[in-house]
Amino acid sequence: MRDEAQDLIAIAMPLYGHAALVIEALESALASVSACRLAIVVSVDGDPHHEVFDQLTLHAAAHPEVHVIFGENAGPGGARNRAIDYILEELPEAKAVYFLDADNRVLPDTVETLYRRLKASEAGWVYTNIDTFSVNWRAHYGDSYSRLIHCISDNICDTGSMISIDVFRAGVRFEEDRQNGFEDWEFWLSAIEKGFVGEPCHDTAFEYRLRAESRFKEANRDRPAAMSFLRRRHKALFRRPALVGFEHEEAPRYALIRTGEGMLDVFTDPTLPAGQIGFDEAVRAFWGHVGEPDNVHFPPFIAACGSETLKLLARSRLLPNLLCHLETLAERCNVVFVELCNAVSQRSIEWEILPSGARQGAADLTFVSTGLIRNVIDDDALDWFSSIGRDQTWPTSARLKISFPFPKAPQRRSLIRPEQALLNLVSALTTSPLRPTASTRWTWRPRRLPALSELYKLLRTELGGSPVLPVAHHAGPRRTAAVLVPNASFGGAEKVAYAAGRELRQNGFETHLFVLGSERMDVLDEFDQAFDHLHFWKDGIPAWGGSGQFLGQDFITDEHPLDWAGLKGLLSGFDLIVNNHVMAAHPLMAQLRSAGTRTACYLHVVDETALRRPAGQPYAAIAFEHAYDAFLTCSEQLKSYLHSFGVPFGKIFAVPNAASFSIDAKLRAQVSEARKAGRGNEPLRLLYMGRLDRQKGIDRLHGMLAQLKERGVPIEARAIGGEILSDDPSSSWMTRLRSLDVDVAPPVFAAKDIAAHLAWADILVMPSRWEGAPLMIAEAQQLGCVPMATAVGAVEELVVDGEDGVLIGNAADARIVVEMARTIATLAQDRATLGRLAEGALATAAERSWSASFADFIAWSDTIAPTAPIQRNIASGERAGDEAAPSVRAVA
Amino acid sequence: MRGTFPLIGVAASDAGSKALQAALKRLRKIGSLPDVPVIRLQEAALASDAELVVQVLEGGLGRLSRHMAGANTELATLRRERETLFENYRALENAFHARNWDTVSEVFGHGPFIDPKDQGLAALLRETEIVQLFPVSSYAVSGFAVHVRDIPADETGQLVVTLDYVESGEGIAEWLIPYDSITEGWNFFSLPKACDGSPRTLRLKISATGGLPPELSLGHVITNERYAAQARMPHADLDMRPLALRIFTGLPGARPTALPNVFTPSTVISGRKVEDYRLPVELLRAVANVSLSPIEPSFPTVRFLELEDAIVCHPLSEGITAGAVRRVVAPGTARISARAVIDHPEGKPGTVGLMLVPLSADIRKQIEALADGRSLPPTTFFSGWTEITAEQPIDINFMLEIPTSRTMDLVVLSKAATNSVDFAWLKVFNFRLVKYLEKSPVREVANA
Repeated sequence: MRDEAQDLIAIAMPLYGHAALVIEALESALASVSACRLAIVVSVDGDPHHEVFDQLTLHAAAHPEVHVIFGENAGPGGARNRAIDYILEELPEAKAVYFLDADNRVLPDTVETLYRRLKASEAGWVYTNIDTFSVNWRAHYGDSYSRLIHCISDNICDTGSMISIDVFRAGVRFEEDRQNGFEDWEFWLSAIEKGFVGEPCHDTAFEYRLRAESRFKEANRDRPAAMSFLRRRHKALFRRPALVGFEHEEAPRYALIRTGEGMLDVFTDPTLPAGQIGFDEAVRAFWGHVGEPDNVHFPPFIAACGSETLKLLARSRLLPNLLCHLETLAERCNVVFVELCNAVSQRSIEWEILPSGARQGAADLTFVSTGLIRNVIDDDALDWFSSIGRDQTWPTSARLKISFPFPKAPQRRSLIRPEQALLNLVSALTTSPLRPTASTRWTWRPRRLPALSELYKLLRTELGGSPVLPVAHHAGPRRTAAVLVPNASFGGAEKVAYAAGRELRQNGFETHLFVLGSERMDVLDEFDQAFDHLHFWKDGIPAWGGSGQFLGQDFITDEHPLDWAGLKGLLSGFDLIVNNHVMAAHPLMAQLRSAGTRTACYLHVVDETALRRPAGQPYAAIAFEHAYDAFLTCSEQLKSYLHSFGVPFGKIFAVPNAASFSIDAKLRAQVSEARKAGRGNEPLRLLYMGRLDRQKGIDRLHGMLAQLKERGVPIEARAIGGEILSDDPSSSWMTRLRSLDVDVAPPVFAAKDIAAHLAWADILVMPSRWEGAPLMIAEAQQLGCVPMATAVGAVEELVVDGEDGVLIGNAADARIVVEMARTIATLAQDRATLGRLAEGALATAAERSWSASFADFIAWSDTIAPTAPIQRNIASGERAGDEAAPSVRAVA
Repeated sequence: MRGTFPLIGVAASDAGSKALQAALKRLRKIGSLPDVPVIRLQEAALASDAELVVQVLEGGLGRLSRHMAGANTELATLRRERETLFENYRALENAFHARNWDTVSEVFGHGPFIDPKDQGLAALLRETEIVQLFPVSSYAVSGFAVHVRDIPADETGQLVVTLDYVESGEGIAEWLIPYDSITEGWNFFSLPKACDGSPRTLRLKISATGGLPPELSLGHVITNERYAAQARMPHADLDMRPLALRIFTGLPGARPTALPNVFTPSTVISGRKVEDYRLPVELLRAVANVSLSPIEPSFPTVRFLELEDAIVCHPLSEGITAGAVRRVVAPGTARISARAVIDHPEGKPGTVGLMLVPLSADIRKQIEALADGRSLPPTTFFSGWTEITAEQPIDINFMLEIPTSRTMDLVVLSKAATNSVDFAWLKVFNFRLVKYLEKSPVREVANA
């Protein structure tokens, strides 16, 4: 008690232009009733009126607690900062600072009440509602403090607040740029960025003098420019992870009823610990948010499922993405039913919208918007809604099927249907005694804040995306990387993207794979753990578009009709994005980059049209060159090519491809032994793996095999791959190859199957017309299978002719066919050369690795600093992972 | 010194004068400072001139500063009053133009909800107070009504109702309503004047002194905890429920036609802070016998009853029985109330009273003056004698015209009313004091 009685509070009063009013401010401060010691620091901001000097010197002479500092005009921020610095230096024992503008007044209890609350709450600052006089206006600023509202809605704390001295000791100051009219808002954002939070106090107020014209009014006239300034200055706060983190703690987007447990989890980020509320509390929150939406929050979406379902979804790494789909669907129809499927080899999220009256099977999870529940109650439509628990569902619905490999552990099935759990909540809400009184607002000051339950919409507007990916900053803080691919099958381009993801993850990034334009992906064991989260977004994202042309090449413009909101909602806020051939994402990159994301574009191959015009992804990307911080290519050749189009070398990382699968030491040893031993004079084994199409030179392969057969060269040939069949079966390459005794088999994707084929073969034949840097070469070399490939694309960077493979010069088709047939015939006889080439291939493969290939890019990525506001530990007030330990309440 | 106040540069040498001029030139960048004249003291008269400067700085300037500070305080008050007058004038003018002469309008109403499970608030009202915030702005509020659902028969006591502003803590009015004045249903409390000035939050506090008080009605359950009725002690009935409450604007004193009664304030507190406190048991335990009687009974006439938190003050057939509790009445106390009872069915009647005595005074001498019928010094306050009969509890209410300015002793007094004091086991309990705070406490000066 004695300590408290001796606490020193400083009242800081900037002064400019209020010579005639400052007496009132001073007198009101001097009339404060407090057990603490008070010091009043008036910071005169170069006010040219000498009256100020006379007034203040008189006051200072009569009241020793009044300190006056004169300074040159520096604007409101500068004047306040001078006061702060004075307090820190001259009144170092001060515990808190209360800012009182020279034209305002405090009530006798204001300082004492606010300081008591500051001490009890351990917040960074305590603020009041605002009541103005002269021009009467008042506003209620909410029963709880929200950083989310403070960042994206409006300034909810006047400078007339009691601020812990720790805030200033942590370095928070006012912005002194007078062009920014929101220096007070900017100050609070700085405090939030340093990990401090506010605390409302409705038990006192100060008297805010409002005249017909004010600085606040003036600043609001140029609000967009001021807002833009705030966003630029506090990028870390305005990014998706920070805002979603605030949302998670302050206005969680989802309520999840765990069937049979009588509790609701409330959360936004499903990977962070959720809050928990009982049914009773949920009912209170629901009706509270109806009557006083600025004071009480109820999540805008409600889900119901069993704990086992939740566990499975959490392990699927698809849960954040699933929630995005559910949000979108719940806004298109009344109810969403989710069905989980165990699929060993793929992950997918597929859905269909069903009309009213559709018949539904059992669901594992049910999802609705809270708005629908409110309408059901208001319209007495409980019977209509209850049909979700029966076979025929009268609300419109969507059925979403999510497939992924379930863990091997046995599943415990819930005995309570999620629909029933949801209906129980709705019944409890409908019959609650709170329902009749819910329409009365008890808080008498007019509402100033947006509805807490609508904050998710404000968040969408702020980020320009919808829905907003519900992923916040995680403890760490780990940097985040998103890898974008247009599809996720077994193609080389996506395997390389996975490899990039794996390298980033191994180097400390939290990795997200976005499959944009497809709702499924195949499971590749080799890269299955490369990503922490997987996301699919199919609708509204075209694989190609030509709304603009750059050097005669197609690119997608901002005006292109696609789901921009969906894309931006998913992609905003990452520390790094690696765009791997998602054409639709290029136009977003400049926006994401200006918001703080580092952008990289991964390119693999220059394609050709049927008329041999160079085309493809590199051109669509070069059109957006300035929007990317880095380019990754699979070859030095492509690097030079990009440079020729104006991409600086310093921005390009050539990443030589490595094998898309690894083999264990035992298999490697076996293969090496076998290759050394050779197979005597047995027929030479030729392997072709790839699409049976023109790009891959299937016609050349056919011609070569025909010549070898004609010449009687002893070979066994195998072709692994698929083709697009035409109506005429006789034109099928499969048929034609089989006629040459080629063993034709459908494509294989599993690493062990590819390895088995490569281990079988002596030579991998690749007569492609164009290529990037095919993974297959590295994979063949890894197994001692000698690649024989046309020298197109960056093949020359992977094969040293005569050492670890054979290069066939790019020429007319007939010449290539002859050259390949001649080489194979030679090697069929010269098994020693073949053995040497196989050993060379093995040696090359031994030196090749993804880690080595990505090393430069990873080094560049390591320069990316995570942009996150400081988090403080609630219990100790310590900054997480930092030595400074201000003793104020903090953010979890 | 004309034109130089309050700053003057004083130089005792040419070099000093030059240096001072240069420094003052740099200071001109700070626009607020007037031009500061420099006076060059001449060598010859240096000692006397310097003395003059010291005199001016230490004497006249200080006095002038203090005088101006007082004037400024007064000015600030006047400006605030002018604002209120302007606002009120405009409101009156608006009402005049609009012919808006409704005597009273209901601006908020929340009806009673009788839950069969309710335990009742009676005990709570006696032990502590119930606090209810008004869910409307204070502006123009002229009265309110609370609902009573049951009035126990044959109970005496008072409901103590106070209204103040939350944000400033300023009191508005206090009502002391005897139980028998209260009716079942709505009871209207009229404010001394309609609330004006800045709209603020009104806070209603209700407590009771005496026997079982009337049962206040609660309303329906609501979601906003801040506006639910609150008490310092947990109570099952108060779970997120406000008092049944109606709030009115209009002419102060005008009773809404549908309501049966109107209570005007017992005390207009306007502007002062009110603190209502009860004497803690540990202080009562220290009661000392300061009786003035020739009789020395074989039993203790003054003592503290542990189980009942009451002071026994058994009258004697001659003289005055007195129990003093030292240093318990805080400065600013304006009212003391307590309850007394003769706790025996055959107890003979007596009289009871309370006295406040300054710490410096001799208590026995004051009692002696009282016994002799002499007038008490103006620094001592006496409640007067109240008659009391067996098993009929009474309330002693002791209102001071001017709140006490210093800490005082509380003395409980009793004397016989008839020839006999047999079984007159007089107990005084439930001491409740109301303090008005008007002046700022003296604060330490920072860095002083």
